[in-house]
This record gives sequence, structure tokens and C-alpha cells, in this order.
Amino acid sequence: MSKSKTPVLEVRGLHATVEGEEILQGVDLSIQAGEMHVLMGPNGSGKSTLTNVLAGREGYEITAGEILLDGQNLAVLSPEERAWAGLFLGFQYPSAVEGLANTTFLREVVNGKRKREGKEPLDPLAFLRVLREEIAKIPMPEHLIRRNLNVGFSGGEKKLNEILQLALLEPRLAVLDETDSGLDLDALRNVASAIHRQRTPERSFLLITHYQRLIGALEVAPDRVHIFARGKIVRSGDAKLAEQLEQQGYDALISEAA
Amino acid sequence: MTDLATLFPAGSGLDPRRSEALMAAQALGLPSAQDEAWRWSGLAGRLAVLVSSESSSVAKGQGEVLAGRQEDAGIVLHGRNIEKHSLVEGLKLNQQEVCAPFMQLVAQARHGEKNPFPLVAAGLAENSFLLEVASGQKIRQPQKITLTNASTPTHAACLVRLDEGAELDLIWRIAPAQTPTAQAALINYGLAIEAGAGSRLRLLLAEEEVPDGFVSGGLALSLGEAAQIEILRCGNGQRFSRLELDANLCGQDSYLRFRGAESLSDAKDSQQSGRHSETVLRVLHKAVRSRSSLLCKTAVGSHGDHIFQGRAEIAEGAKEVEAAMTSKALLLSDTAKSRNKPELEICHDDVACSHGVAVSDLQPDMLFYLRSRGLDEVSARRAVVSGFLREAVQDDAVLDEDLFVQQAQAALEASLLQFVSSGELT
Ligand SMILES: Nc1ncnc2c1ncn2[C@@H]1O[C@H](COP(=O)(O)OP(=O)(O)OP(=O)(O)O)[C@@H](O)[C@H]1O
Ligand SMILES: [Mg+2]
Repeated sequence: MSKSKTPVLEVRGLHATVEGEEILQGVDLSIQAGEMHVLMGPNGSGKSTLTNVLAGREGYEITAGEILLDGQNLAVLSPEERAWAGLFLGFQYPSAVEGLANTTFLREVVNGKRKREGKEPLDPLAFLRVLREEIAKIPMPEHLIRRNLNVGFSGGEKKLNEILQLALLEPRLAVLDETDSGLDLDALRNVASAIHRQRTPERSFLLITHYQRLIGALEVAPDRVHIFARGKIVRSGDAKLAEQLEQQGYDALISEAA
Repeated sequence: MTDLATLFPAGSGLDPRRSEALMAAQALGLPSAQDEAWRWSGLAGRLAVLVSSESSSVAKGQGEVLAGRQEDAGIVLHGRNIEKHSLVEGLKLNQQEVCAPFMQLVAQARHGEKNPFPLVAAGLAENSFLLEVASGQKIRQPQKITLTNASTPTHAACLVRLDEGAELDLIWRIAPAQTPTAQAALINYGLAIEAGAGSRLRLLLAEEEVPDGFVSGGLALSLGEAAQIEILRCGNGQRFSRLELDANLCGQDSYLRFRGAESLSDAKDSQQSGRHSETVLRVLHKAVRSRSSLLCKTAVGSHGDHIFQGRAEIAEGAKEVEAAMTSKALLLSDTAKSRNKPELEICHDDVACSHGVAVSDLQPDMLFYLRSRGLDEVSARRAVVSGFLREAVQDDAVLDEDLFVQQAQAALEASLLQFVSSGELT
């Protein structure tokens, strides 16, 4: 990948506070088009905070630094504008919305995107065909689309629903926060290949995970692995870094870096 | 406080039975904040403003409707003012017979609570009537009755009688006048329902927005053996609205289902902002294996004031009863109010009862999740509010060709639009 191009995501010297407490303490990260980066780090180190700051969640305040998506400053955009700009966040804990049928929601999301692209909206039947194709590819149990959005879904089912949304939204940058947590072994393999299928030369990924097994299940090794601790990236390397981490644990690698 | 006799004088044209109903109402007197069921919906300063200046026009209003001249007010069935003939085979309309059985039913249903309004309705109704479905008759076409707001009070009293095995779908609609009236006015209705053995009634109470409306609805139900009554109430908010339901489950295996989806948004014109809505549901299980399931969902806007009082009472000897009662309110702003009081009174053990209350705000997490998928803020709020209200109808088996279900969905959509047009989702 040529480094002269504008990266898809560029995070520079990012500091952010949550409820007055500084959680992000100088994050630097640059992801080029088509690249897949992995972010690993101890519980509470600030990984999800980073994703929330990227996606513009209320209450997360940027105190220094910047975030650029395709060169565009994200900080001034609302969460939906960031989505329109091509950001997709797969949530660690997706919300459930009672009374909102999953299909209705997904169709609204897809038709909203089509409208912005100047395309005709899909009628319910046409959309159902698209939806059936996508869930068959993952695969995901079909009854889940007839239920209300994430209501009563198991942890793993919620994650499959996130992958479905990723497939339907075709973002520029997908940030997946522990999408592998809570998945059984088969589902983990399926999700790994679903993620692989979503890769294109234009689309970039930031995968957050605690486990080497997701990385091992990917058909193509990630381009970079970063270790996140105390609110910033303390070490970066290739896929081998994840293996090393699996063997030695965070303490060894983080203190080595410090 | 103003007394009932001055508010609703018995006109000279009333027949003896109607006078009797009105006298009974006057004997009860106007409820005050001391009456438990009215403690949050005191009438002081409310009712007097609405009707005192109009008292002389009550009789006039009646005269006009009876003479068939008033187009905008009164009771309309299938687009026509009700007349003394049957519009659908198997359905009888009878204005004469109503008062006595109506009074009896209303009296039966009250557990010593004070609500004179249904009796006032029976006494003063411009058109009180009986809808009777004969034994074994199944009326497929939903029957629609519309009460329109007018500058004079509208009183309606209806007795619905389902004989053994009869079936009926009824749509009871409160609507604003087509030509907006200058003033707020009262719509007061009493609906008494006798469901005979094995009969089935589906009732849609569709209360459209009447910005200045003052609506009082009184429902008295009596269910015979294996009778089923399913009520869906979709409310768009009036300035003051009070629904009081008393159900007597007298027959074994009888079943009452009540679902409410109500939006108390802010009025479009800022002068009259605010919606007060109170729902009082009282269910008395008298028979073995009788079941009731009540769920009220209310979305409350910034000037909304929501009150739910529910009471399930299970009589001695009524074994294997199932009674569930839930009120859920979604507050759209810090100033929105919701007060809930569910109560249960059981005389023995052999019952499955539950009651619950949930009052919540619009969850920022939920909105953020939806917005991160590209829904703008208004759409995200709309999706959450609509989902919230929809839960009230969701476990209905939805048959698209079912006219009744279509009407119910339309009523629900209308209550959602209320929030969109009032700009409260922004
Ligand atoms: N809304 C909040 N209010 C207060 N503290 C918060 C909030 N969100 C995050 N934090 C704190 O910020 C720190 C980082 O949390 P974060 O969720 O980003 O960690 P993480 O790296 O994603 O951990 P995990 O691996 O367990 O998911 C934690 O100490 C957490 O308690
Ligand atoms: Mg996390």
C-alpha cells in the first residue's frame, strides 16, 4: 500500500475525556485504504472509548488532537453525519429497541443510504430479497430478522446482527468492537469469513479483540496489530505481535514498551 | 364547587328514564380531589370553564341534532346520524331501550366509586342507543361510531349487547370538528357492554387529537361465560382526557384484553400546550378461570401529564384466575409527568397475578445506536417512540385483510404523527 495517499483514517494526538476524566491520552493511528488493523489491550484501557469518540457519542469530549476520515474532520459531525461519511461502528454492546422490527429498521437504514446515493428506495419485497441473500452469506438464522431490533437476542446473535448491518451499509471504515466476543466456535469462523468477504481495496477495518483466535480465523492476516494501554497505542507490529501477546500476556509487552 | 345540576340541567324534553339517569348522576355529585380515583384529575376550574357558559345551549344542541340539522356534531354511524333502523343485518339500533339497562350496568360496575359522567351521558345524550347483535350473528364489517367535538357539549350513551355467540368489531372514534370550533368543549360518553356467553367483541377506541377537547369516557363491561372483549385504545391527546373502565368478569373462562397506546404530545399552538390524560382501569374477577390482560403504553411530551390507576380484584371463589396489568410510560422530556398506581386485591391464593410499572426516558444509548446507522436524530427518536407504542399492538395476529386491524394501525400511525408534527422529536 502506498503511504503517499490520504489515509482512510488518521488519528493524531487524540486526547478525550469522559465525565471529566481523561481516558484517551494521545492516540495516533493511521489506516490506509484496504488495510485491516487490529487493536488489542487490557480491559479498561480505553478501546471502546476510542470507538465512541470516533462515532461521536454524547459525553465524550475531545480535548486535543484530531480525527480525519478521508481527510474530513469528524469532530464537527453528528453521529449520523459520520455514518454518512462512511464510518461504521460495530458495537461491543448493541442496543435493543422494543417494538422496532429488525427488517423495518434495516430497510430504513438501507433506503436512507440509497437516497443519499441518489438511488430509488427498495420496496419491502425487493428489500427482503436483498436481506435474505445477505443473511444466507453470514449465515445468520432467518428468524432473527423478524424479531425486534436486538430484543431478546443472545450475545452472539446481536453480534451477527452487527455483521449483517456492516454488510448492508458497505462503509468506508468498519470499526468492530469485540465482535468476536460471545460467539461460539462455529459462529466465530463464520464471522471471520464474513469480515473477510467484506474486504475490498477501498474499505478499511479496525478490529478490536482480546483473542488471537479471531486473527487466526481470518483468511488473510491483518496488516497491523496495535497494543493499547492507558489510553494510547503503546506498541505496533504485524500479526506476530498478537501471537506474542497470547504467549506472554499484556504485562510483559506493555512494560517492555514503557 | 359548581354542582352538577347547574352544569347539566335536566331539559324539559327528556323522557322519564333519561331524567332518572340524570337525577342519579346528580345524586352522586361531582367528584372532587377527595375521591381517590380523581385525586390527580381534579375538576375544579376545569369543567366549569368548559360548560357553565354553555349550559343553556345543551338543550339547543340536542334539538338541532334530533332535527337532523347539525352536521358537525353528534353521533355519526357510517357517515349518517343514527336513526332508528338497522344498517347492517343482525345489528339492531334502538334508542328507547337504553337508559334503564345502561344505568343498571353502570351501577353494577362501580365498586362504590364516584363517576357521574356516564350517567350524565345517559341522561343527556342527544342520541343514546342500543347496538344489539343477535345470538350467533357475526358482523364482519367493523361498525364505526364517531363523536365529534363541537362548541356545545356532546353526550353519547351506547349500550352494546352481544347475545350468545355473537361477534362484533366496533370502532369508537373521537374526532375534532371538521370546521374548527372557537371553543373547547366536552365530549362525554358512556359505553356499556354486555357480552353474552361465548360472544366476542373487538373495540377500537380511537381518540384523535382535539387540541382543546375535554373528553370523559366511561366504560362498563360485563362478560359472560367464555366471552371475550379485546380493546385497543389509541389516543392522540386531548387537553383533558379521562377514561374510566370497569369490567366485571362474571362468566367462567371470560377474557378481557386491554391495550393502550397513547401520545401526549404538546399542542401545536403554544397557548394551549399540555395534555392531561388519566386512565383508570378496574377489573373484577368474579368467575373461575377468568383472565384479564391490561397493558397501557404512553409516550409523554414535555407538557404532558399522565396518570394510570389500575386495580384488579379477585373475588372469593374465583380460582385459577389470571390477571396481568402493566403501565409503561416513556418520558420525552424532563418536565413530562407520569404517575402510576397499580393495585391488586386477592382473596385467596389460587391465582396468577402480576402488575408492573415502568417509567423511562428516551435512552441516549439507543438513540446513539440508531444514529450511528445513519438515522437522523428525529428519525431515531421517532423509531424509538414508535417502537414503544407499537409494543401495545404487537402480539396481535396481524391479518392485513382484516379491516379492523387496518383501522387500528391507522390510529396508531396517527398518534405517532402527532409527535412528529408537534416538533417534539427534534
Ligand atoms: N461513560 C463513562 N463514564 C465513566 N467512565 C467511563 C465511561 N466510559 C468509559 N469509562 C471508563 O473509561 C475507561 C475505559 O473504558 P473502555 O470501555 O474504553 O475500555 P475498554 O478498553 O473498551 O475495555 P474492555 O476490554 O473491557 O471492553 C474505563 O476505566 C471506564 O470505566
Ligand atoms: Mg470495550
